[in-house]
Amino acid sequence: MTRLILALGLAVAVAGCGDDAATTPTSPTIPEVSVDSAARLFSGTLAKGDTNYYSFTLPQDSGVFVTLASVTSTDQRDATELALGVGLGVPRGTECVLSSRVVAPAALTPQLRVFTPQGVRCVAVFDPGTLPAAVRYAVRIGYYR
Amino acid sequence: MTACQRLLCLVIAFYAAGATAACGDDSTPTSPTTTTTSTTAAAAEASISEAFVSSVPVNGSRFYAFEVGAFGTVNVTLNRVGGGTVPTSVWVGIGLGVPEGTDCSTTTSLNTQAGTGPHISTTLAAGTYCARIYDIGNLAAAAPFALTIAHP
Repeated sequence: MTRLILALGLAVAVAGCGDDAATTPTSPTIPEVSVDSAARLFSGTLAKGDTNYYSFTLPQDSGVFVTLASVTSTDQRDATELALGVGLGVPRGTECVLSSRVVAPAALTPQLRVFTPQGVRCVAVFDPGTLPAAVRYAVRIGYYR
Repeated sequence: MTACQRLLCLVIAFYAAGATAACGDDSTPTSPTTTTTSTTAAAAEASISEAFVSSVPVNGSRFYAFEVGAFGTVNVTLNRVGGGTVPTSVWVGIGLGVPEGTDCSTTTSLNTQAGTGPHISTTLAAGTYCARIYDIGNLAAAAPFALTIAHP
């Protein structure tokens, strides 16, 4: 009987404690991202052994999609399957200091997809050391805005 | 009421009192404090100096990108320009802006000769910027130059 009384009393004491306000679990906050996307087109002529770069301002943290879309002869008559280097980085001094890079031929889908903090960024196109002569190139840079 | 019932009431009352005493905030109350936040930060000094030494082509331009680490003063000085066939007294354009595309999109610019400067002095927020030098139509040949950019 005594044990029953003690257990009952303890149950009353424990039931009286705890959080008074009922809380509903909440989902983690997901940053609001606009569905709008922006695209830049960076084209030019890349000389053998050279590097060209293009700067842009990323307005918010976003995925950046870099597509080397076209590599042709300088007269733009012939498409080539030559691979070029493309990279993403930040402009420093007279260069684009790359944090990501890839060497690939032209394609219809991005060769480089990198989540990147907002700020001024750059995309570079460079000769990976295999160019026999200058080529024309076109690069599409996509990101959310 | 039997003795057993009285004992039961006594035990329940005892535990209820204990439960009430056990609940509540364990921490000692503290006095409220007032926090004052200033909205105007002092501009940091231009403590980092970068030298941009190159050559500006006829009708062309050159630019140099740099990172400002904190809100503060940015100074651009054209220390030297010309030499050889280009007189050292030649006037050129210099500017300050943001890298954009394949150039530097300037928000501040002026025409100047080389000197002790600074030729451009402003305050900028942290971020990536660029200094640009360009021919304003005075160059008959490429002109070597030395530009100094000082920033936080």
